[in-house]
Amino acid sequence: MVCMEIARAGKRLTARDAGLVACRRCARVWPMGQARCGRCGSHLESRDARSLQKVWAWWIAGVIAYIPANLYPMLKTNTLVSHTENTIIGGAVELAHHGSFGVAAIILIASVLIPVGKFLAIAFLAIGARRGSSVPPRTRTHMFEIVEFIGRWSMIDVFVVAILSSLVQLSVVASIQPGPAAMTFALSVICTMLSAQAFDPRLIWDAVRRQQPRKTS
Amino acid sequence: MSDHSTPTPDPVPVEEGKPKFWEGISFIWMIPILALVVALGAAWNNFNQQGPLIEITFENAAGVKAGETELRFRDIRVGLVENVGFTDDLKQVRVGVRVSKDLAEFIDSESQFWVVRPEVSAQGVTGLDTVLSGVYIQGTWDGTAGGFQTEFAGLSTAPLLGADREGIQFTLRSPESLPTANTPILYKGLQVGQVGAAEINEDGTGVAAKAVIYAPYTTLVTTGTRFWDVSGFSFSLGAAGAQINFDSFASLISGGITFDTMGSGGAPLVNDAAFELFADEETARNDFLVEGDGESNSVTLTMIFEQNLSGLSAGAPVELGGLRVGEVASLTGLVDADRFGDDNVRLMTTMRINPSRVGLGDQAGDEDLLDFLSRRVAAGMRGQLTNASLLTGSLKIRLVDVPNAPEAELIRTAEPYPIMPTTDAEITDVATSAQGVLQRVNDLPIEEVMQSAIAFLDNATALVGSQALQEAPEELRGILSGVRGVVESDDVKAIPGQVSVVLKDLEQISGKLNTIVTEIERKGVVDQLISSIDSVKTAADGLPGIVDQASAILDDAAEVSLKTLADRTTELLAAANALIDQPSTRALPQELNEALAQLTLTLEELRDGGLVDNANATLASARDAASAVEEATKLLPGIATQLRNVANQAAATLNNYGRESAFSRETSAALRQIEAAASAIERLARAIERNPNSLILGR
Repeated sequence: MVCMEIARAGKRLTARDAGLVACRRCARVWPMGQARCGRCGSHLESRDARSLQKVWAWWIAGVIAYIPANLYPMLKTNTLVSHTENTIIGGAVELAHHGSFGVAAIILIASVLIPVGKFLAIAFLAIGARRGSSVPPRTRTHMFEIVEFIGRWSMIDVFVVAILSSLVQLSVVASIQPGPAAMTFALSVICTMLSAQAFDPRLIWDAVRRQQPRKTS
Repeated sequence: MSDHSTPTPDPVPVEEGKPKFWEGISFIWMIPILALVVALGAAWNNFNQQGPLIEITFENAAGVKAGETELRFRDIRVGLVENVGFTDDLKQVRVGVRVSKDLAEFIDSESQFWVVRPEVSAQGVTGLDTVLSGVYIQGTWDGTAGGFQTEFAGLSTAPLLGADREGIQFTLRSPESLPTANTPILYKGLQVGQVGAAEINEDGTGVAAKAVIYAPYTTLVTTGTRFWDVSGFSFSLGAAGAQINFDSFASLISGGITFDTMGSGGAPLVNDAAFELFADEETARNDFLVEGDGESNSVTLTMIFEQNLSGLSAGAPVELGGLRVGEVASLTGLVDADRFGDDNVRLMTTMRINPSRVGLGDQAGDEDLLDFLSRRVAAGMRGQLTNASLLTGSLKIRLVDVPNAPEAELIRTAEPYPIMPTTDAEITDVATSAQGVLQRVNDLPIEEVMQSAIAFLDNATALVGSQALQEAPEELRGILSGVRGVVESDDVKAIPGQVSVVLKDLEQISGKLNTIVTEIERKGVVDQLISSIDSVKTAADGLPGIVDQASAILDDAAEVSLKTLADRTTELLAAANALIDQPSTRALPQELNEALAQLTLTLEELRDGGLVDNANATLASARDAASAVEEATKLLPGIATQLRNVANQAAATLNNYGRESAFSRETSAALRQIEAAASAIERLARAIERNPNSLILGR
């Protein structure tokens, strides 16, 4: 509250400025130098110096995993007379061909739009944290919250594959098996979630502070 | 208090040490590095594993789909079709196949590819699995790496030797026709190979097809092997009856080829060898007799025959001592006034002779055969045209030794082939011979003989039927009346005295008669008679042999005037009957009896006159003579039996000859007459046996 008011007043006072450090898990404020939260025991750090490194590391791993996830088949369908393998986009296109536009849209949004959006958003936030950005910090913080919230829903495609391949096992007549893309896609989603988690949102504001003196002076 | 007094230590100025480089780097970076390594490793592995892309062009690639159709080797997937397109000229389908890397080096220029589809033929159903799974491309290559190649021309049909069948491929040729593709090659009823699709030669002179013999059976085929067609069935009508032959039911429907290795020691089958397909087994065997196992080449000779006879043809046998040693290759006419001194057309024959068939051994060559022939020609061997078959009139060439042949030699330097001397043809013209025989039969004066016989019978009838002969009994009766008159006369009654003298003479005569009969017996006249009958019998035995010729003659004879002859004979017999039936003839015995009665009276008187003793003595002598006659007549039954045998023999022969013919009927009648004569002789013999005295005494 103090901070807010200070911010509104134009003069921004941060916990760091006040010689305090907040626990990121339980939000209890401790004096600077305290190593562990006296309440929840989590590690206290005013700023995670390696936060951006972690973000980028997970981000790169996520992107690497996302490439084969789109190149290799997600789903292998064997029926008596045919054997089909579908990639994520290929499957969506096929569904659209058969008229299931809704399902195709869900798959496209969950498996393509969201992961790609997440990659872009995290990269944007990370770059903004270092270099600053024209986008207001409040918006960026909001963006970060959305990214963190929505991340888990990317797994919807993996769940579909898992459920289908466990349900449709009718020996020779028909069977569905997960392709190699299912594994890499899951890895990609996990990596981006970790990447988003590793991001320290306080850095957004640090950048603002660094910029302002330059602007004012 | 204490709180305030507690000195607060001055804040220790802490100068942050410059962090070391690695301390500033999070270990989290290991994750993307690991991911990168894995991804790169996977990509490298993938790239490394990925085999090369080969392109196969097919005329028809129905059912081939990119990303789905497999390339199989020994029915195991070794590649996948990646793309399907067309060649630049759009005439063929180009199929890109990603093949497995470790097999790529084996896919060399020898490799073959074809699309496997379901197929139903007379031999069975193949590729049934492709009905559900779709077509696949089958590839075959050998196990030796030989330079990778990326461009291939796919086959339109499966090759004869697939990846799963070992064997040897060769060519079957025929000037006429070959069976359809996939016809089995059978050996003792088992399939040991297959024939591919036939193609016409470039020069159009025949057809040729690839064929294979599968692996364990390749040793069955050598250069001494001949193939022939057993398609369908053959029907033959011969001495053994009618026969329908076919090899197997499959070959009846779809044809078949079989073979036999006719000589041992031929060179084994090699790839791309060529064989001829013969129409039947006989032709195949004949070819082997001439060509042999291919190791000893046949020698070509020329013969020039003086006569230009029809009946000789290419392929006709050339024989030496009854053994086929070669065949006629070609025939041409030859006019060479310079060489022969006239313009006559001569028959020039070229023939091929197999030295090994002549008996000069497997290794014999041209020179050996020519040396051999030169020696034999010097000793009189010549070529001669002769009949191959009496019925068809075809000719063959025989190498014969001609005694006292005019000198000649084998002209070895002659072009184009050595010339072998020839001699006159020995041709038995059956037709001509038969014609000659018939001509001679025709020339026989049968007509005249018949006319003479008829004239004779006419005369005989006239004689018997003449008034004079009809009156003969009357005359005889007159004579007997005269005799009676004489006997009753006194002169005769005075005879006994003279008779006594006469009887003495009679006794002497009887003695002589006895001697004569003994003489007859001694000289074996009867035996001669029997032997002559035996010879008749022998002649009758030989009768069947001449029946053939007699047939023709007698057919003529029957037509001529035998009927007339028989009619005349009947007339003659009728006339004779009429003569015998005359009352005057019937009265003759009565007259004779009376005359004899008178004679008895006279004899009684003679006995009274003391003649009896003399007469008895005479009669004793006569009895001796009669005994001798009896001895002789005992042989008569034998004669009769012989005669009957002859008749039976003849009857049997004639029965065989033909029961129905007119000749047979006539002859049968004649034989019955002979039989009757034999019976009469028998009866006579029996009568004499019963009462030998009757011969002498007239009773």
